[in-house]
Amino acid sequence: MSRFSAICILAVLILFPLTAQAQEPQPASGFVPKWTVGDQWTLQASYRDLKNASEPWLPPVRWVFRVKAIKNIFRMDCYVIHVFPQDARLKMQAVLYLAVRDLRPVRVIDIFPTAQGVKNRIRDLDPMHPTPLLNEDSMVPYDMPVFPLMRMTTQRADGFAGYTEPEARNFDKIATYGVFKFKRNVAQTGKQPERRYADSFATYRSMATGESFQVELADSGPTGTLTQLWQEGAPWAISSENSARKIWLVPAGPSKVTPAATPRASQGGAQ
Amino acid sequence: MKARLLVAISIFFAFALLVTPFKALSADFLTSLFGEHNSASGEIKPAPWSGDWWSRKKGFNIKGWPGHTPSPFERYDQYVLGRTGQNPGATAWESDPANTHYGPQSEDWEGHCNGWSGASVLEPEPHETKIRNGISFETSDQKAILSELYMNTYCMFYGKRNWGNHGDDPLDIYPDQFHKLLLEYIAGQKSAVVCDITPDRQVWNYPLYKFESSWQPSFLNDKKLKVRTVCTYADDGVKPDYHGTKSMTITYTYNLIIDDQGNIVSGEWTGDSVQNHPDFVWVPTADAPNPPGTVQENPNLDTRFVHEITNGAAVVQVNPEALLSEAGLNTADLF
Repeated sequence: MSRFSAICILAVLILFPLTAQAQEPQPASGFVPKWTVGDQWTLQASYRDLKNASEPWLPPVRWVFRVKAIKNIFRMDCYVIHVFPQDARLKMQAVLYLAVRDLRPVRVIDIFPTAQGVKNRIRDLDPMHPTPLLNEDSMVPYDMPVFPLMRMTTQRADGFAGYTEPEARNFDKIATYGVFKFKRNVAQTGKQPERRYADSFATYRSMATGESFQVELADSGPTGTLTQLWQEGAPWAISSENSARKIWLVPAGPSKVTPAATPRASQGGAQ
Repeated sequence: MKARLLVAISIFFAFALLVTPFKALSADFLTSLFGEHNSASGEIKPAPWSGDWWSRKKGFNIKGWPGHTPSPFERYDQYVLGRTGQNPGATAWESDPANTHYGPQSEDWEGHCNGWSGASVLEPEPHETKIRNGISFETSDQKAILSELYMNTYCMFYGKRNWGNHGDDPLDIYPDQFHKLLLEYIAGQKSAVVCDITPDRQVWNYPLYKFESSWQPSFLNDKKLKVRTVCTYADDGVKPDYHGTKSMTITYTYNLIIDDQGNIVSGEWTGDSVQNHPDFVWVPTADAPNPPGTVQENPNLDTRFVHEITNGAAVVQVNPEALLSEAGLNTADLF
């Protein structure tokens, strides 16, 4: 090997980590929830039973989110979040690996029950092309938008009409199964928080201060539009809802949770 | 005669020349996507078990049937009475027509097929008679109370139920979504799924546990894949004491529409499947309690006692990380 070749190889070895690090995406300014190892919060989720007559809301399930560690995955420091139900009889959990920098999902592990015992499914997601995380095949309520969320103060204002809704960010979500790739579109829109959610925000003001964010995740697939409310200082969305799910962040301290929608009378065991 | 033959041969070759470029284009594009693959399959083993669907009209679960008395619910009440000193009243509740689980005037198709489907996907099949507190629970008794227990289930739900109302989409669930679910759940070895196999107002739930799909390019459209899928369901057209899985198959045909990048973006049912395809699909994930004020599930049936009868006393893991190990994951690697 010539001296020149040796120098070239050495240069590549020295520069590679720097270039790799340089490729790691830098977050734009805006709101990104921050956690530390040991943080824990609880979500209460109600699910609508769409297969049954009268589509009743089922009794809610409480999900505990626990920040277990920070691990380096694909050259990114990631929070490792263990999500499990308070009721241990439910055999569903998830482990999320979210980049510390902007919470982009890097790996998702779903745990689910079968008649033959509990199984797991591991999904590695493309960290270079983050898309909203939607739990289309799991009950665990880990839906989240692409961060950072834009602050009102930096949103576009024309000076005449005042506040202008930002345009939707469109993401192609592609799911691959063998030789098949299924594509659907998810549009993420930040909105000025609507007045009807004022009570929700007020509930969390005691535990969180700062700006409030409303995000809509419109899915061209079957799940429809999910509306999330994020509050600066709160560890997770204080509210998420679509036509089939209603999820609330349980305030720390004495439990005070918005009740699920009033169940309607069922027509009984329709086949 | 000779002239006519020559004309016919000329027309044949002209047509062949005309369609060849389309055919070649179609084959090339799709070959680049799928290579030599032209089939997919999957099967969940063991299959969900067959069982009675506990017709509302017949009321076998509360009245028993020829050669089988007391009924499954009467045995349950006796068991709980022995355990707690109090009759839970499961039979009485189920027998009250006001609760809509039993009624001689019910429609012929109404029953507990959703409960049976959920139980057969999530619970192992009862294989032997269990004697609990001196009361005999045959496999049919166990299946009857399990089918009631799963009348409410937490589940993943796909498609939209057709209520027979104006505006309901008779073509939903669409085949691209259905095909994706087969690959995700059945080929991916996750779980059997439950389908309402009729696209109209009636609901006929059956667990789907096996499929075999094959496809070929559309003759003239290189963005269309013509698919034929044979789905195998566990059948509930059996006697209450049936053991194992009686299967039935339904063949669906549909087109999957592909964009320029080779992604499937939509689908359309074809042939008989336009009228005969699943209405919605759901994947049970857990037994759910009865919502207050509803009668979907018998509130006098207790999950704990049902499982005592079918499985013996269960130990619930308190440490959530234990479930990760049960799922084959190493917590030291995860965290």
